[in-house]
Amino acid sequence: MGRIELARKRINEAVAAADDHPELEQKMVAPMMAAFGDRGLVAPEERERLALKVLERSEKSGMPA
Amino acid sequence: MTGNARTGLGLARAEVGRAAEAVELIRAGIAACDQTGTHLTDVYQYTVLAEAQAPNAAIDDALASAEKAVRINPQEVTDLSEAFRVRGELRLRKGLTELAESDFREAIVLSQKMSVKVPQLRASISLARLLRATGHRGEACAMLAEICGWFTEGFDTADLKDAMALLEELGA
Repeated sequence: MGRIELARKRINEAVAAADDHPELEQKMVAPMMAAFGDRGLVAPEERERLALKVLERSEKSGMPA
Repeated sequence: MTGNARTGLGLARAEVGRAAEAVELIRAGIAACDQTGTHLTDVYQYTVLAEAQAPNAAIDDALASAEKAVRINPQEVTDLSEAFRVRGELRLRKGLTELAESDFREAIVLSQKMSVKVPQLRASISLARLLRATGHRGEACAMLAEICGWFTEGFDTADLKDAMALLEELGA
């Protein structure tokens, strides 16, 4: 597996693991990084979904904007 | 964190053609980061703001954002290459061909120093298009072939698809 495929695999694993993490901040880091990250690795529709997930979690928790 | 998420959302929406909404989101992202004193991603944020502004024919606003991206934080080196490339594209649209070429070349040098291949590829595509338009097809072809030759995977990504299509047009 090359570096691009490895990066994609690790992003997917980190995003999946974040959902089950007990700490709120950790639930947000991986999807935020993927949403904010290189556009070549994650499709815009997926980045949009992840960014919305981060914002929703932030709103629910009362985290400052 | 939410500031960066807003910017990420804005960039994604810019890429699917929702530019006006994208500009608002990215501005909100920058404001949120300012509010919390987060300045680690300033170059990136102003670069994507410039990209989102560009399709709306707000070329001067976009260029102002790109200028800010280039100057705001020289320490954010990993993102500077993209900032120069985007400023070059905007300068090209203003007819400032020599300045655009200088920006593309600077973007390539910066990306080579950091060994960041995708930004180098993007800057090389921009420079190759400019060189083709100014009658320097040979240089365009050689430069693009060299960076494309580095990649052994990722041929399904938009950047490599663009590069390969351009190489074909150049007759490689």
